[in-house]
Amino acid sequence: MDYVLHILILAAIYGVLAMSLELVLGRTGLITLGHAVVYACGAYSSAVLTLRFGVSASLGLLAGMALAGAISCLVALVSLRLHADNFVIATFGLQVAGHSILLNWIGVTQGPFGMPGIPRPEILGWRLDSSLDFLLLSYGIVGLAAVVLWRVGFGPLGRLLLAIKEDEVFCRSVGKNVFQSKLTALVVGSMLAAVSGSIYAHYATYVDPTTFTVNESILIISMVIMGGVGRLAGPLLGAAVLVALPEGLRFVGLPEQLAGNLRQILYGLLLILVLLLRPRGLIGRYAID
Amino acid sequence: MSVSYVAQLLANGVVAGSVYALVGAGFALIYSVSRFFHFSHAATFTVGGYAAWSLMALGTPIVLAGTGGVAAAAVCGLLLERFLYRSFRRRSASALVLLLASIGVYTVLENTIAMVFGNQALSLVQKPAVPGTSIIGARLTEVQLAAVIITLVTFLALQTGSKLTKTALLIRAVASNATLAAARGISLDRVSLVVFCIGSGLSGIAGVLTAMDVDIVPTVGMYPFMMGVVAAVVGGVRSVWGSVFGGYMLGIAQNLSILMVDARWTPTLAFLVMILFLLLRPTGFFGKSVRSTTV
Repeated sequence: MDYVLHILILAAIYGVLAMSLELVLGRTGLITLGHAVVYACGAYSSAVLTLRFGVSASLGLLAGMALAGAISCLVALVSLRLHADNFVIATFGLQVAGHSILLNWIGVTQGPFGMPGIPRPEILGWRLDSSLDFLLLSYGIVGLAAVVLWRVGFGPLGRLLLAIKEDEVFCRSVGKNVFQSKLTALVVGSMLAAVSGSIYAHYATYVDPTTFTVNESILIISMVIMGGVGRLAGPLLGAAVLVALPEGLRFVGLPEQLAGNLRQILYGLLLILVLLLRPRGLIGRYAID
Repeated sequence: MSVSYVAQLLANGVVAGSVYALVGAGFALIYSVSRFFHFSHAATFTVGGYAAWSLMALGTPIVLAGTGGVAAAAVCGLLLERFLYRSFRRRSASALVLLLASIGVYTVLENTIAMVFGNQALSLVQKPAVPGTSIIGARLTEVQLAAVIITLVTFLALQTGSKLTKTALLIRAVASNATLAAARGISLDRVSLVVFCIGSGLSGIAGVLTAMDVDIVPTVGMYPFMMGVVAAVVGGVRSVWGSVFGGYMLGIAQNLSILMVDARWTPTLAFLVMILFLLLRPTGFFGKSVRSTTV
């Protein structure tokens, strides 16, 4: 039973992550290779602030969101102006540098040793001890994130973003602020990813840099592509499928390390196959292009 | 701070810079024609290193094993272009989709290598540590010296080839205007094959040289790839020679920065350098200025 709950909670955490990336990838057509770093912003802010400074969980979460928003703002400022590939390059740099900071800023992050013993949070007197509590919390967050994303990604801004993707010059000619729209999508997406990271840190009670490598960024991208863009349910389904599917590999009985590699191969193959055979993903409204 | 210490850092910078320059030049060459961010460039690097390791484990002499490693990387790039990227291009897939596919390929290749060879570090050359040759107080091992020379010879050959062969002319034609080149009867497919072969080969040379110098793990390609990309940004993403220059500059600057900051911050510093370039000179030192997005 706990095992099933665990899978469900992971699906929710990754669901929020995938939804937040869909806002960037699906609406603006920009691809970020650094989503694991903004995710880490949330996880590490919560870990460092609650462990070292005894700050409450909600404050840690807010700090993580602010940090993720600031970092993505910086990346957008330098890379969104000229060419879409500059954004890929800058976020890739962010990913490698971000992971290296987690690994090397030992005074704050404890480097490769990771940070154990992150306390379970308490929200308005409700202490989340059991997995069931976390299940409620994580699906509550999924709901909240869905509302935010519905407002941002599927309202006027979302329509404008889709129009920009079709014809950027035209949107500019009718007086729309193209840069600001993309920036908003990116910042909101990053802040939501930080929320997800914060929940993850409190749920796992342990964070270390190996969770936030480029492979994690790739996994989140695969989830979005797998589920499909243009619908909120798409990335949620993609996350659920990619969390649940490799669990089957557990029964093959490979050693842990090799099973990890096999899981990655599965993600990579699925990504290529979906792009080749079903470019709109499982339930996406339109294909990535 | 002695002269020999600075000389040593400079020498280390040239060794590291050689690898960055090779990876960056290959990346820029492929980018100039295919116009997408070839993420599995990091994997061809690793393929080269591991192929050389396997050949040496089978008892092949070092020169032959190295050549084999480079060939494996080149063939790997060739196959990717022929059987994957080409079919995506046939569906007129965008640069974004090609990047996503390339990310998938990277994941598959890296983890397949990990499953076959294991995740632990393998060392290729098992020799006792020797003091190395001394040049103005800087010590380089034989392997490092060879790496610097091999890189220079490679670039010399590349330069000669780009001046003398017709293929180079075709590559430049496609790079400067793919539609016009197609209208003149130049086959994008064939030029792409050549470019992926040479570009991945360059990455493979870097992979083999790294494998000979230090231990290799399945993720070994990621860091030099990142540095190659930074080198390409510094030199101008479409300019092969700019990327070579950028690679050497980056390698030397990184190692000299050790005089001021702890070595563990070098990746972060490289990232900051890249951010500065994107902000102030997005087309790099030698890149031609481009007008926003092409429609």
